[in-house]
Amino acid sequence: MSNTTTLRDGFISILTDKFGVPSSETTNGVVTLDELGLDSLALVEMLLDLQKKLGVSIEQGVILPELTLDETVALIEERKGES
Amino acid sequence: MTTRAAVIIATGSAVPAHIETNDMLALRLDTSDEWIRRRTGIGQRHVATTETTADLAVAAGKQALEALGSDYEIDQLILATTTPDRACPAVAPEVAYRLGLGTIPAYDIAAVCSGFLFALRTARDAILAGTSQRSLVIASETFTRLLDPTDRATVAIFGDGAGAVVVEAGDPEAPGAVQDIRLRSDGALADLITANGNPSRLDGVDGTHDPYFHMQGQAVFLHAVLNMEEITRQALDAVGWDPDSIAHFVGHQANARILHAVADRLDVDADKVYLHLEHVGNTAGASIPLALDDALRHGHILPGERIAMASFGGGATWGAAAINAPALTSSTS
Repeated sequence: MSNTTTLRDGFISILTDKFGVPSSETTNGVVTLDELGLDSLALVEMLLDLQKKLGVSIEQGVILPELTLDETVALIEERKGES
Repeated sequence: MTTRAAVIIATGSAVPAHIETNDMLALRLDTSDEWIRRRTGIGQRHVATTETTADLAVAAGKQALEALGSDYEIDQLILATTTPDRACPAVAPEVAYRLGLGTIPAYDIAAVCSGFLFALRTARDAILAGTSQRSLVIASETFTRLLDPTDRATVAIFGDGAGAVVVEAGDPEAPGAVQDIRLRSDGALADLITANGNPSRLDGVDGTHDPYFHMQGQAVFLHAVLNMEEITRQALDAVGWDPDSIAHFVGHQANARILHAVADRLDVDADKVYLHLEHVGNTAGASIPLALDDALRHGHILPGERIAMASFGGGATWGAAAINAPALTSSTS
């Protein structure tokens, strides 16, 4: 399994397990976080989970509700690569 | 020589009579019960109409003192509040007078939502130093008076109330013993949580003439979770309590999601998080003693059980405590 797949899977697990996003909605890469039902506090909770579960640190205010799922995964991959 | 500890021997609480449910707020603000509950865990709050911060403090303090009977002498009163009734004088002397405590030293402490832990730490230190044998600690807030009544983001969160504990010199093994309590502050975060309408600066710090309370929600959430986790871990480490060994996490009742996030990061089970905010909202500095009193009164927390407390508030200020649950509860409900 590639690192990219692992990070995407890990992120989708956070979406489904933590925020109750149906798995069927996570297959569409262009859906936005807002459309997935994540409110502003959920974005912060996501940062905490990304750090704890995937070891990826992203500062508050970078992940925005208008980001798509694919864009968010790309950001996570970028930050993971930097760490 | 016997080791001396600060021991909580009584608790009390008070809330204003008027209740505002989420549905009542939805009649005048663009919000809903479902949205408020999902975002905060809050279902209703008590709002002061005629009650003052001093009134609530007296009611909570009276309840704690009545639980003790008449043979207990209080030698200092420490009152935590961010919402004093007047810029001058402090609230505490009036409260001491109204409680019939004579001319004991009585003073206010301002640490916003960490107010109770700051006051409790001050009382504990005085007891350990031998300058107090028995202190009354009260946290009382009429926080709704700081709010912009049209701001759904803050009106939905805050409520008014007061909590009190009596702390005395005692045995570290006794129920109610404060095993560790530690505090922090960071003025670099001063702008996260503000109410610029302090009577001493009526134009507001930033010249906007905006007197109301404001909070940078996302940043507060993040700093609260990270700092509460860290300082709680330090407090528990200091007394050799594994996070898994605590029976209850009684945190500042800011938001159920913050408390659950802290517990999750501490690997404390979610069902150990005591949630009182559904009934009273976020009562700022008063929330921890209000929650503690509620939990003891209803038998949710039993004498001697290990409790972790933690708070984060404006300042920024934060703190945590490791405490064995008190054996006594208030005498009246």
